[in-house]
Amino acid sequence: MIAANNFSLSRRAILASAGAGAGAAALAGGAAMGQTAKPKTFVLVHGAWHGGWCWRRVSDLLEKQGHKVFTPTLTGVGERSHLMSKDINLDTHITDIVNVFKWEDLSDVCLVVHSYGGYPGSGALEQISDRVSSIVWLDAFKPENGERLFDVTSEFSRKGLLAAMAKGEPGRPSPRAEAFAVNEKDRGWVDSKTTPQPNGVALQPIKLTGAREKIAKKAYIRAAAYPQPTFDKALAECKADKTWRTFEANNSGHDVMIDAPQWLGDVLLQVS
Amino acid sequence: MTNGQTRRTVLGGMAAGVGVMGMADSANSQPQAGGKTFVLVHGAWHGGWCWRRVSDLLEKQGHKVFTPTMTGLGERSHLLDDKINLATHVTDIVNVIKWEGLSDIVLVGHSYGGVIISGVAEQAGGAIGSIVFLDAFVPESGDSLAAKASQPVRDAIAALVEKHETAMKPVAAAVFRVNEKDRTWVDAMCTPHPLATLTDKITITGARDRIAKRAYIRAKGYPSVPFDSTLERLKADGAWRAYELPCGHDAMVDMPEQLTDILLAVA
Repeated sequence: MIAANNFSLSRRAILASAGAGAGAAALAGGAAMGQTAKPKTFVLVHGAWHGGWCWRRVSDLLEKQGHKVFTPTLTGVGERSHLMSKDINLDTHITDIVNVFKWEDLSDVCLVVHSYGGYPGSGALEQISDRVSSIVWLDAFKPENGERLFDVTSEFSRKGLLAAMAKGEPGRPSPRAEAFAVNEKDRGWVDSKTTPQPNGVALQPIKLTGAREKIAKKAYIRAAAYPQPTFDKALAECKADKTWRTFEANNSGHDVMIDAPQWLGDVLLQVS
Repeated sequence: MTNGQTRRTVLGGMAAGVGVMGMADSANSQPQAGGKTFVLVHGAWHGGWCWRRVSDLLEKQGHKVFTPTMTGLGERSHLLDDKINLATHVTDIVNVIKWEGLSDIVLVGHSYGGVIISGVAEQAGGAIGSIVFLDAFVPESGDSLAAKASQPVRDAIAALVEKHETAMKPVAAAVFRVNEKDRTWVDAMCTPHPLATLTDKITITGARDRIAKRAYIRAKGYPSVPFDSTLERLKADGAWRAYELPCGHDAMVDMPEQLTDILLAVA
């Protein structure tokens, strides 16, 4: 019920922001979905506490249309949670992403980052921007040079980080899915999958020289139902910058790939 | 053991597995109708990259494919350290099955990956519908690759252990009889392999041999006494299906179409 509601509302939102025309075919849903021209390559980067698992619905939708999708899990979380350690820092997660591009020899990629993924995603672009043709920031941090996640993250996240560090633990436990306003039906599943987030990645200032902003096609998606002032600010900045397109996922919680996968898949195909 | 007994054991195992692994996964999507789920496990020095041709072919037919790279190798080579052992690599694969909520998978292991998938079967047997060993080791409990590999590899591993090395440098693609055109690419992608994973002994209790569908594929273009004898042993075992491909050790690189056809036939 929530998903259906989401889809119709979201669809109107897209039509409003994209205007009619080219978008219409891609937005027509099921029937039109098979009519893709050239297959694209997507690299989907998850946020804190999550893993590649969260993208499954979106990767299935994209693969069904012939696209290639990579959903690497960052070191220390999800299927890589057995590698949790105090040695994991932002450079580790940046390299996690960069190396997928190198070893899979990817080019002309649409890089999608969710939430915390905006940090390693911005860092990765400093090394692989020539392999990326479009980027999508999904309810994500858009750091400036020298920033640390610790300084801009939500209050509960900062408190959790300080508490975990005081106890000498390498990571901090995940908030409940409810805190991210995930749809009720999926909360149990999300809670069973989330794992502690390595502290080290939030404490290292990011080094950026502007590679992210030089990508030709840029889009920012804000999940309207999840209150987060930092993302509101990022959305406002992107709205004021003509090189970014902006979208609002109405009625979707922070985990848009879980709450509104069909809508998100359509947007990704439209902006990539 | 008769086929009937094997099947019952497997079904029992699967039911138990579903209870544990499938816990909260009802929300997760399954592959499209008729689609199978493949987990492809690479061999020593390689990474998920080596499967690209096969995964593209399978995905084009609507199947879901996972090609995890084990810790310390390929795209995970920045994580190489002396703490990586056989348990790390087994967990690398078991966790993909757990976090992605996979069931009824076709689990494929190449070369060293045969040791890994034998370990995976011990922990996630209920999630595995078919198991395929591609020019791979099929270890018994207590085996290590260091003890079972061909003599030159065994000698090389022993020398590295003596020098307290952390990793073993890649063997050239030419040695594995990779087709000439792809040798440069394969050599460029291969990375040092964490040594402890080759010397650790695997503990198995027979979970692998309770999986309903089992197959061995031998890449005959690569001369290997251990793999030849494994092939002959499994050919004589009615519970296994055996195949041969006329190509180098990296069959996923040399003959992706033919390999894909075999995987679909076995699945």
